[in-house]
Amino acid sequence: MEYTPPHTDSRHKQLDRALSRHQGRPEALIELLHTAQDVFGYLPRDVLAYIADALSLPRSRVFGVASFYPLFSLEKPRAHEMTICMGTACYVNGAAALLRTAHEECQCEENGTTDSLRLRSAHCLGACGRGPLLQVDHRTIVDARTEDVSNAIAELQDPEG
Amino acid sequence: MTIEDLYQIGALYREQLASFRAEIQICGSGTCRSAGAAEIQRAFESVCEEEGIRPEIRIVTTGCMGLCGQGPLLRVLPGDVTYTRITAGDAERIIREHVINGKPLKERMLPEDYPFFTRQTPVVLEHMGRIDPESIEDYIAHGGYEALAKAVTYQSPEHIILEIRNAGLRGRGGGGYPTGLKWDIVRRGTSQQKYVVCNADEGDPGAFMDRAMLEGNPHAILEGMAVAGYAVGATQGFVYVRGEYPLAVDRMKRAITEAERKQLLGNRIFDSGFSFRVDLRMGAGAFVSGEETALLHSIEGKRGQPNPRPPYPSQVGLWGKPTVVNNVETFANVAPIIHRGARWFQGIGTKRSTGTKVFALAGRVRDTGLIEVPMGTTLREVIFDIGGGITDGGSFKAVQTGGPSGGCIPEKHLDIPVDYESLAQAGSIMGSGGMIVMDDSSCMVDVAAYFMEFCQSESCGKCIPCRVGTVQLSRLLDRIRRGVASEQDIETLEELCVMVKDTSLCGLGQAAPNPVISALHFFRPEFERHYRDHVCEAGVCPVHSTEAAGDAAGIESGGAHV
Repeated sequence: MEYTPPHTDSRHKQLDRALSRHQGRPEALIELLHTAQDVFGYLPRDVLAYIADALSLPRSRVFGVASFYPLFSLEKPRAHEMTICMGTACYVNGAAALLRTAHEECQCEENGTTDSLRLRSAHCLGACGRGPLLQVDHRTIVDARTEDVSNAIAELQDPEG
Repeated sequence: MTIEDLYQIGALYREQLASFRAEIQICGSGTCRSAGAAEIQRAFESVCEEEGIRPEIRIVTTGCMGLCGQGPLLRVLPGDVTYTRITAGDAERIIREHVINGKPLKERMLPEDYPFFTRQTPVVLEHMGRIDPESIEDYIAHGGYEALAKAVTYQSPEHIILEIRNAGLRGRGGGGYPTGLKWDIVRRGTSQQKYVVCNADEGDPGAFMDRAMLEGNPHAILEGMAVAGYAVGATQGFVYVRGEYPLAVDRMKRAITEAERKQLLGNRIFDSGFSFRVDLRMGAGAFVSGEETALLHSIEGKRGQPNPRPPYPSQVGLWGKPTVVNNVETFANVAPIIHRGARWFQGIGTKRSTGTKVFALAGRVRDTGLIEVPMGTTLREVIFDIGGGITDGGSFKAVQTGGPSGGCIPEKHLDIPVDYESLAQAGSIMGSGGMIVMDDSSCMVDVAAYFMEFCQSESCGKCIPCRVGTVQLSRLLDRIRRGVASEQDIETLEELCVMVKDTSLCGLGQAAPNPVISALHFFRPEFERHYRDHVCEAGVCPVHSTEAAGDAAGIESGGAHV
């Protein structure tokens, strides 16, 4: 099945530019997946198929790579993202309690989603000197406490607040 | 670009730096940024504007200054005065009293003899936190690219490899393989095409050395890679940066472009016959991709899964060609060695582990941050003299080195010197440099389970011992954690550890049991307390709450036992 991208979509043009820059070389696959994720916010199935065809790679190979790396997301992103760092330094400073609080208040598991939020735990965000670390969208809170988690979730769920 | 041009650029930039009345350096490391460094910079700029002295003051965001725990950090020059825990509100007083009136704020400044800094020996981190990581001129003004110039102009590849061998430099990613030997194997490879790869896929939880170096002094890494390229006969290099570090990716990309523009990378470097290009590849969150054969697959656009070794990448590497794979810190050591010579480098550290090691000191220690000490420094010196001891007056329990491949070292081994062999003897490894201090609030069973869960989720699934073994080990550890394990479970745990260690395909699986083995070795009574007495003294494990909750929970744990 041939996939034709909607040419009116300017996002596809960005992907096409990257494709022509890499001249269809299959080793550029991961670079292109990064580009596609930047452009679309995640990796839709039809875009994966499109990349596979452009690089003359089996779709299974492209899907295999995309699903192997945890930073690639095959699911549509939610409006907000909350990340709790579970690196060792954060862990010995109480990150597990933060994650528990987030589970309870979002009523979802680790790496789970609600209607408006994706809750993630990260293996290490690399700012270990001031753990535990809490990331809410693009804001990072150092020396985070369970109250910070509760407050952030309350804020995200009540856009007026 | 000639050597003279390089000196000229450096001299001009130094002149420019000297023309400022004062300089304000703001730490732009990940930690200090999270704590508000950008806002602080704006505040200082606007106060300088108000005072009408903005053109006379250089305000610059640097790389990591080291003392992360007391950030955001700020340094004022001249005088080299460091201020800690800066807020935007401090701008006015520091500018008016210190910069304009020349009276440093005594009560706010870090004492000059603060042991966190005075006990360190910066080699790799010498210019970190002092130079502008986005300015190649600043790097050149501090002697940057002189080692590369010297190497390609006056020295033969054989001579450079000999120098690196004589220096005794060993792989700083934790493996400790002699760098010169690795380069020599690649140089002797008969292939026309060879590669140099910088492994910047820092994945150990609790480690941030590579991140800090990539963000704080990217040119030092590029220079080391170019020297390696010249020594082994490679014309192409790759930096593989962890995808979770977007700022490191940006800074490195920028550094590559700048170096190309200045013809310090590209064709005929310093008018020699040597050409070298560097491309950046971004990881996408798989821990196993830090393993060298997996990393090479990832650069080739494939899943980052490992291959059995041998053959090693130095013989069969990227696209089957001989490839040097070194860690960020290893490359950062190259220019100083070429600059100051093997003899100088040998003078630092111990006989078998020369030079320094950068550590990310974190956890339950008072002064957390990035440090660099000579090899052979004792763990006690690092934790108690440099780190200032345990947070909140707690008592030391263990220090974890080597991340999920390492182990926990107890109090009785605190006086061992930090070098590759001594740490291995103590049942841990040097690792890439994460050093997490733990106190009584950590339970060693829980920590062992934590690392096993990490390895389980990061196992790539290619080989069965790792894929299945880590799951079984996790389950056993969880039984102990919940207080429902039997003596038989402990035996199974120990047997399985040996099996996974001996039969896994790559370093991830082979080292995955290490945290458990070391915890069992040093903290066995703590395990016994869990499964015999159903008590977790640190109050971390669920067994503790079951005890406290009384009968209902007791039935639950009993049920699980059946």
